[in-house]
Amino acid sequence: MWYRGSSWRAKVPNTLDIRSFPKLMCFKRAPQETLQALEYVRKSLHRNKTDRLWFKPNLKPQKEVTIRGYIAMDEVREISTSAALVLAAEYERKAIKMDERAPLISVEKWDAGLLHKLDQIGFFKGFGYERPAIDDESNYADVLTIPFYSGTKSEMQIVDQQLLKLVEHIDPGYQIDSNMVIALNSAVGEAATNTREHAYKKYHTFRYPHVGRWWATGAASIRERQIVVSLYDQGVTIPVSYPRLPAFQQLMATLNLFSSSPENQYANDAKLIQAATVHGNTGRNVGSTVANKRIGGFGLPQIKDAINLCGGGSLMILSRGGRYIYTLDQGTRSEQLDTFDCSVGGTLIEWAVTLPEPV
Amino acid sequence: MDRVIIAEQFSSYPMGRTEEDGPDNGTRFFEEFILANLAAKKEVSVVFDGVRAFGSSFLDHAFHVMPESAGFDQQTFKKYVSIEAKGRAYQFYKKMAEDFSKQIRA
Repeated sequence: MWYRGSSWRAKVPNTLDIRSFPKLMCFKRAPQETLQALEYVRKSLHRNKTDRLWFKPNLKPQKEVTIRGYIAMDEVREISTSAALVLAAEYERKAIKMDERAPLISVEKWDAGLLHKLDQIGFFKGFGYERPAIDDESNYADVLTIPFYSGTKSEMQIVDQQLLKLVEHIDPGYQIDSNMVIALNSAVGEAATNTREHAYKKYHTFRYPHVGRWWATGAASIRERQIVVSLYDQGVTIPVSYPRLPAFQQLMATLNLFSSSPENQYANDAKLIQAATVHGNTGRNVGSTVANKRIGGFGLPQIKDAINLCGGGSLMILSRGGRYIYTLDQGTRSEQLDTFDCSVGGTLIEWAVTLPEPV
Repeated sequence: MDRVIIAEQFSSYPMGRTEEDGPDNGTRFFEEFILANLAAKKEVSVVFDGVRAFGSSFLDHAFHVMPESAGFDQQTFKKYVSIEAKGRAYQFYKKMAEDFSKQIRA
């Protein structure tokens, strides 16, 4: 167990309290398992309610530390950029609230692919863990992942610099189309603005205490010439905030929503995300008469338009239990809506675009 | 006619509505680059090309909320403020700004 800057021996009296994570952690290819695993992380991290220390201050290094249970990531072979971002955000939220970092258990058993991804995204360095040895690092040279960063404002200069770093990884001499740059930068800025203006509302009772931030990262694959940019917040979510808009009552009649019940409380989440990407903030357009009333961003149509401006790619929005995927492939647009019984704990937006081959 | 190149004279990353959202917000842009021209009934052309990111809340505030709050109507705004945009993405944001300015009450 890695804790308080050194290695400790730990014992778990009941092996039933060890929760194994799935082999693949990815919101696109294994959404249900990934959402469940990350919800378990959230629950485990917030089990400690003291907000100070994880164990007694006078632990003796020569004695075994007894732990109730832990999350075993030994079987994880692949974690996507967005799943790694959500994991890092959960640890950072807890790190901000507590006086010390959460322990990491059985890291020596983790797969090199997982270690490499978490190392690149800044998980070990960011939380003061010792960087583990990683076998055959050259196997992972294809993908560059940007260390995650978080903030409360748009901080567009950082977003822009990171995007250029990703393009440079794919092709150092490549002159990226300015349309693609402005589309992606603006979309990420729009999402960060949404977080600032809508995510952490006082009307909402949060299950886990929030820290009012967004988290972002990006990754680039040379082989696929693909760039992925992700932004995550732990806010109220689109399915909660969108129906509160003034114009929603008028819009609702056109949405064909399911009747909600306690058993399927997330049933309409994907439909609500889709509606927000189509109608955006129609509140003022339809009803408002106050000129300078702050109405916030809700620039979800702009967030989606980035894919159109890039000429192709995909947008995935996961918010609470809903997932909406928009794809533009060789001029053909498609949408996919899915609902899961587990929440992502906020809103995750992921853009994936492919750089055209140089002419 | 005056010409304002946003990327050179204001910011490469115009975002947000007010100071609370960041320094390169729509309120500051309107007050520093548009208001005087509208008040003096002098044309100004705003150049979008070169900007690295646009926020819709910036465009809404600079091209709709602020001129309306300052008491200018849609016709006056359209007469004295124009937008230049060559690139495809810039034309997209030009249209967005123009749509916002159409919401200025007459």
